[in-house]
Amino acid sequence: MGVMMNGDEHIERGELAGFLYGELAGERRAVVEGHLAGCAECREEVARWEAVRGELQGWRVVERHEARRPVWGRAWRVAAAVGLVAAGFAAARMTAPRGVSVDEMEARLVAERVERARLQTGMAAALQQMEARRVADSAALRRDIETVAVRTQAAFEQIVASAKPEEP
Amino acid sequence: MGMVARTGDAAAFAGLVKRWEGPIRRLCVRMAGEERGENLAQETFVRVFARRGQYAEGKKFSTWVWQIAVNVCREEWRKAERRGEVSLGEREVHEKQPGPAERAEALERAVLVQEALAGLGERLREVVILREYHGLTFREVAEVLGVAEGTVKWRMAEGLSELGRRLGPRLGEGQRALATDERG
Repeated sequence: MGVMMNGDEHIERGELAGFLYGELAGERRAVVEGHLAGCAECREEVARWEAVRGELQGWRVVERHEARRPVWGRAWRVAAAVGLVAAGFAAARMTAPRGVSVDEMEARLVAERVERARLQTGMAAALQQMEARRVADSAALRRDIETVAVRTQAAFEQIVASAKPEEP
Repeated sequence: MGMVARTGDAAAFAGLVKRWEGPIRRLCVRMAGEERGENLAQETFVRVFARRGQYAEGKKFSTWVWQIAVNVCREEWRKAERRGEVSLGEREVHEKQPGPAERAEALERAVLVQEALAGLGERLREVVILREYHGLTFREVAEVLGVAEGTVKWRMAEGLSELGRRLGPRLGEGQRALATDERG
């Protein structure tokens, strides 16, 4: 940043950053505040950085639980149960015996991840099958109910017809 | 962590993952984008577990975990550079579609910030992310990155200035409003 027109030196930019984030001790902070009061160039720099910080807060990472969608409905319970079993299985296997080298441990963990991915893929396929079966079962049940309703109606009409007294 | 390091206790490790999962995931997502960030966060925990024997008692655990996460992200960054990709996260930024009207403004803002950060160099970006989003002090960032505190502050200043150039038009609006407030 260099020297001001009146010969005073500007505040070093790293120190300005420290000031911006409230990390300057009392005396240095007072020096920087004094400088800013008389230096439009540094004041503008700090104001611009403050504006940048404001913009940065516009990006919030979506948390995993917020991103989750209830795609599977009740099947989530099944998925959670299967996941728990898989996690328990993985955790148990991750408990390595003493004396295992770091390289061997890494190799095992890589294999573990592959296994977990395979389990998750299989689980997703199983859930898809379950969902398809549920839809098919619902359709079949609906057809059965409709058939029963139609037959019941026919039988009822037949009973009513047969119960009518014959006309003289 | 001491218990995990001494006994390799999976239950203790699970507790540790639960506590650190959010911050590490957010760091990795900010460093590498949503899709890769998820994988990098997982990779971080795999390494934490694999290297638990290297954790020195008495050392600040948070610093150790941040170091591992930053290194995982750096490795991914270098792989991406070798593959000739422009920058991490950029592809996802452009893939994002505007949502409902009331969210469009916030989404646009987030996309612009992601693009601006994605365009920063690795050294500047990691400092900005650790200090601005994760609240580490400059001294803590210096410990994580293994550089002098003064270097970190300088990188922060450079990073903010570069972001200012990249976010220019939006900041212009903010600064005009600020000037109006000061006059008013």
